[in-house]
Amino acid sequence: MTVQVRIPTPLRKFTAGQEEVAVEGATVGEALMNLTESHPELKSKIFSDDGAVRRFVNIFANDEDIRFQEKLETPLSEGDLVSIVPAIAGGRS
Amino acid sequence: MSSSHPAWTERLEGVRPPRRHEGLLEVIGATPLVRLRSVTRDLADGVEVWVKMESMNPGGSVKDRPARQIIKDALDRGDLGNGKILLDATSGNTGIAYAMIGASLGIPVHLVMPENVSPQRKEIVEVYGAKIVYSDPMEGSDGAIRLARKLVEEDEEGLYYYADQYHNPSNPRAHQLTTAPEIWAQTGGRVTHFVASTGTSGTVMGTGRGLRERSSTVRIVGSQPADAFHGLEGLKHMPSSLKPGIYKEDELDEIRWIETEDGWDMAETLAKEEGIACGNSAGANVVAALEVARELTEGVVVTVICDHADRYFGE
Amino acid sequence: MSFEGLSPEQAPVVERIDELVGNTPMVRLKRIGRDGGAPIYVKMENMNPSGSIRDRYIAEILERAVAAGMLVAGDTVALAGLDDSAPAAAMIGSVLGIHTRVYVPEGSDERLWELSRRYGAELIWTDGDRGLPGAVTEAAAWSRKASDRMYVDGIRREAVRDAYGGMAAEILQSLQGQRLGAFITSVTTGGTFRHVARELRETRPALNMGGAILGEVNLPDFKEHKFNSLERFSMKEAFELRDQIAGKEGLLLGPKGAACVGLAMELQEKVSPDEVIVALNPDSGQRYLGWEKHLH
Repeated sequence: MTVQVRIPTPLRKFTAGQEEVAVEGATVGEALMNLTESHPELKSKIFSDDGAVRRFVNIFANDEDIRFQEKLETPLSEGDLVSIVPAIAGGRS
Repeated sequence: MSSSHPAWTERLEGVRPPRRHEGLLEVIGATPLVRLRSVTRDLADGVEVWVKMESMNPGGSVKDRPARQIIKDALDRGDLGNGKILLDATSGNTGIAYAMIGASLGIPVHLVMPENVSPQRKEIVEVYGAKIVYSDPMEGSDGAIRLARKLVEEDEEGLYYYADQYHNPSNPRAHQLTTAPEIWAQTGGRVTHFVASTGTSGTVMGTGRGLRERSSTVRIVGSQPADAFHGLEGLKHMPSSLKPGIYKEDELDEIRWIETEDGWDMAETLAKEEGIACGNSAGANVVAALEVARELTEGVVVTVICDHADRYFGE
Repeated sequence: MSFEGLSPEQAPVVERIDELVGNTPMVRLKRIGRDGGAPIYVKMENMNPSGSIRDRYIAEILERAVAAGMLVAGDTVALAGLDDSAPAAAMIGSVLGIHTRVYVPEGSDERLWELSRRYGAELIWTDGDRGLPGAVTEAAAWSRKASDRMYVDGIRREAVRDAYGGMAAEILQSLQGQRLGAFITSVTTGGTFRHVARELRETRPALNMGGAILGEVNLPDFKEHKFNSLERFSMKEAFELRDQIAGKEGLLLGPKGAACVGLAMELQEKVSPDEVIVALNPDSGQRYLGWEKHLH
């Protein structure tokens, strides 16, 4: 199934400026894996070497933090929205 | 009477004499300088690393200094006072410092922050009586700055003084006038390197200038998150950000790039090994200072504990 | 108004963070209190390195134990209850190389949980139904099982007496000869009140001592003294006072410190305007934000 992944501003240079990228995936983990396959430069930004999501990166599936769901195993449905958000409010100013 | 107490007070007389202050603003600054003993184990014998405990300011962060200077200079110029409202876009420590000092002096403070800012931030500025103006959460801190500028542009009655910490020369001046002479006195003029991460860049710019007035050889090192996508609150990755007006890169001798996780880990290590509980950006400062120190055979490296860990804890 | 702080030469230099325990500043309230009344100063114990007055006696206990050879680096101290003693012990322990174990009854509020863990404390839940006495029993029992363990409360009395006596001396020193008219502290077990009162009354037997009692704690058994003023404050009243003081003075006190200032304002009636009132703020106001609803 196809889901949308929302890309934060500092990472959009790796998605040709796209704010959202459509990927296939039945879980958050699958969706992010497919995202980093099509956009390899994103991989080290989101994941640490051991394959876990970096500690300062929050992943939301439809506005719910996946830490409080089934983490990377959190299931997705057609059209769901996955967001990648750094742990701080940050951003350009 | 103290002779019957073999305790701390007596042994430390002179280290930090107990004082009374006629107002809160007097308590800002003159923060302790503490030597790091554990995380420095691998350094050469002739190398010392010291941290300036800005977390022990009354507002809990280094930002008490620029906020005090910004408000003092604005009052001196007549930009503040007579009921004028201090306005700035900040969801961090500067906002807390404005709110605290504003309460102490009876100056109203309005802070623009994105609506998704943490509840802890809202609670602390509101307890000091500051008013929060919310900006669009999707537009981040950029959106807060745009809204602040819009409020100032539309302010025909002249209600606001726009403090604009990113462009206000009083911000680095605070450190040039206070932080630098303190570090100079506290190291007995021995400081060889000053290291600080950049957010507004006020700390490293101002302290750097103040130390250079006293030493022709001191090296001033800025540090930044290694990547635009980072988790070091309050810090800026300058290459991908709009540069603060007060940031002058040519005044830095070098720049160190710090990974988020290294800063986070160091913040935890400092609490467990040195008894210093600090925020992650202070952790990043110490990572950068240790990097600098590792390349030396002799030197006195000073960095900043910009805030306390408990600001980031909450229910 | 003065914007100037201490001079650069007055900024302390220490080899270790625990050297900064004590010698906290006192700050005068400017916009709160009676016009023309005795000035009220707040003794800011939250400016101890771990953020509370507990640094004083914990430092005293651990230092005495190390000096007496009862504790060496690598040993563990045990405490019962998740109060400000927990981060204090973990902070001082971290620089002495001593581990900290805190026995906490299930259901205790977790306000100081993250900070204690950050300093390296290990937290052990005990049966909530048995309350704090149950945690005390378990902490003491665990400590007795090996020689590299110490239960902190074992030598507490003397350490408390000396640490708080030292604080009393500090207050008199910072008054630089001006007369102390009243001292106000919060009262839970009455330890601070008793020790500080005894010490301060050595120089002035008729000193007014105020005790602010917060919430539902049982009134400790005090010897009658005509210059003791004890008053009960609800948590709601204390938080209202806190908001008022933060908004008018820029001082964010904890509810205990706020209640002490509340009582200080009442004692202004009894104290001559050329004397000084000192109210104790024992802990960090920051650490109550967001927890108010749990603490009624």
